[in-house]
Parts: sequence; C-alpha cells; structure tokens
Amino acid sequence: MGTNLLDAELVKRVQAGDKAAFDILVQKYQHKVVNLIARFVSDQTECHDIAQDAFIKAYRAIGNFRGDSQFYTWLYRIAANTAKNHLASRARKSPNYTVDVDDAEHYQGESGLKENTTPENLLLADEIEKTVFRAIDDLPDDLKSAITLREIEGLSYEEIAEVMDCPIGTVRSRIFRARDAIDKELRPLLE
Amino acid sequence: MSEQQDKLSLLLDEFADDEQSRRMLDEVEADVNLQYRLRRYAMIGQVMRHELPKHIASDFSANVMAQINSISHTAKLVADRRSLWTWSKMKPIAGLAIAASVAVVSITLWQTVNVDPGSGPGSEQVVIVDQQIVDQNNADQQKIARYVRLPVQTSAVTVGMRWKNNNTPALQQKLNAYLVNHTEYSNSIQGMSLIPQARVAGYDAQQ
Repeated sequence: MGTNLLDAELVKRVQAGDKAAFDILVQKYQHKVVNLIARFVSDQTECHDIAQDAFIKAYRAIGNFRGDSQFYTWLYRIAANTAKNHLASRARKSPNYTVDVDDAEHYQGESGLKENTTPENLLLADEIEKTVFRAIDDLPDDLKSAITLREIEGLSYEEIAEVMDCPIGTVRSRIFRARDAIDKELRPLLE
Repeated sequence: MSEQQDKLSLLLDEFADDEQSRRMLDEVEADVNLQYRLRRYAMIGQVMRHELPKHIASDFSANVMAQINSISHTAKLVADRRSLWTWSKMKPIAGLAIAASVAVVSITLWQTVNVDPGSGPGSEQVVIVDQQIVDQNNADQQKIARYVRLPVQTSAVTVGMRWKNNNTPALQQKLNAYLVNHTEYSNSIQGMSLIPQARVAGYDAQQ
C-alpha cells in the first residue's frame, strides 16, 4: 500500500464516519501543514490556530473529496486558502502572501518570519531535535545507515537492501530497531 | 508488542500490503498508545529531514479532534431539531392530505353505490358498449344500423343490467321495437340520434 493508497484508505474510512482515521491523518500531516502556514503567517500561535482551522475545514469538506488529486495536495490547498483568508480578514498581508499554493510546500520562506517565536516554544522543538540526533548518533552503524537511507534519502526497502547488500527482511528489521531505539529516548519528552 | 511495532514501522513506510495495512490501521485506531507511537515514529523522520516546526503543539491533534467532535455533536443536534421542525410543519399538511383522500374515496364509493343495480324501480339503463355492427346482410337491420348500432355479440359485462328474463322472445321483441321506434323518431328529426353525444349500442350484455 503506497502513500496515496494509505491516504485513500484513511480518507475512505473518514468518509464512512470513522473519526479515528482522520486523527491519523491529522497526526501524519500536522507538522507539514503548520510549516506551510508558517510561510504565510509569522505568529506561531496563529499558525497553529489556522492549521487547526484548516484541518476542521478539511474534515467538513472530506465528503466531497473524490480522490481526483492526492489527499495531501487537497489538504495543502485548503490550508493555504485558510491562511490567505485569515490574512485577508485581518487586512494585513504577509511578506510571502504571493507564494503560489502549489509551490508553498517547497518554499523556504524568510528566516525573519519566525522572529516572534518565543524561547519557550522553541525549547521543546529544539529539545526534540537534539534528542533525536543524539539517539541516532548512538545507533550501531547498520541501523544508522538504514534509517538514514529511508528517512533522509527516501529510498524504498528494496533500494536500501541493494545499497546495504542485505535481504529486505533485514532492512525492515534494522529500520524498525532504529526507530524503536530513538523512540525510547523521545517518548519521555512528549509524555 | 515488538511485532506490532514492527508492523507499525511498515505501515509508516507503506511497505505492508493492502490487507496488512488495513488490519494495522484497525489496530492503530483502536489503541491510543499505538497512535502516539505512530506519531513519534513519524516525528523522527520529520526531525531528520528538518521538517519539524519550531513550535510543537503536543495537543494539536487532540484539539482538532475535540473541535470536530463538538461540531459533529452540534450538527447532530441541529439535524434533530430540523427533523422535528420539518415534521411539525408537515403535520397539518399531512392531515389535510389524509382528509382529502378520505373525502375522495367517500365520494367515489357514494357514486358507485348510486349506480348499483336494482337501486330502484324503473331504473333500466341502456348500456353503452363497443360492439359489432349488426349482421350487415340483414337488410332490415341495415337501415337501423345506419343510426343505431345494435349488438350482435357482447363481450363486455354489463354489471348494471336489471332486466330479468331478457332471453324470452317476447321481451326481445319489445326491446327491438323500442329501439326501432326511437331510430325512426330520430330519423324524422333530421337524422339526429336520440342522444347525439352518445352511441346507443344495445340493451343487454347477452344480446
């Protein structure tokens, strides 16, 4: 089941009235949506409010989603429009207001946009990053390579197996063990 | 548990087949701890790709779902109220419709009863049915048939027939004479039939 098929299965479940499936979609895309909105709105608290609003709009409109486009493309469009409407309602334009919806996902933005972020807000994200990278450094080389090839390079299990010259089952096991080891360090921070 | 986490990792990477993914999704939906674990697994990748927002709201999805549940609850209440409102508005109309239906049925039944056979003396009727023309070879009857179509055979059942013993020759003769007389009378008034808007077809279903 590929990305689109997994999303399509979740969407189908939501359309059938399964709210838990939508919760998974929210958890899957919340950071990407927040990042997208952050390119329109500088205030981090506002970003989260708008992102939540975008997800609620998506939930309300998901009955009309026919799968003509990918779910995340549809969701990003809603998020971008929600951010634009928010700006319009405040009669204030963000410096990045003219970013095209289709390009917004890859737009790098300006570093000055996040200057309103409070140190308290930054602390958690910074702590999470440090913890994750420290945990990766502590991994055995084979696990580190497997998780890096998967998460950063975006290789499939077959491609990783070819690169690492090992069976796919071994790749699967290494990736899982790497995640599990990092999760052990990450979990206390988020509980 | 370890096997479950392994499957969760496969689900995240979309490496499981359709059936495995569906089963795993069912398990994730039913288990909050698995949901949190899936979120953390996803977060690891986001951190590695530097996709994590600088501001993390740990209660983000919980807030979204709380609002969605609130909306769903409100929508259900509104729908229920709307349903009640619709019925309260429709109730008098439905009552009127039922009353009108009863009235129509009553009138129809009353009319049916009024034309019921044997409802009174002297209520004999000429039954109008679509029938064949009388024997065309019969010269005497051809004249009559110009204006009145006499029945030879009747396929229609004449429910309202009240003549008794209409098979007796005497009665048949009397009835034929009746028709002939009327035909001649109508002929005398410039060829108009007795009942210009109707066609006199016969007097008995059996004739």
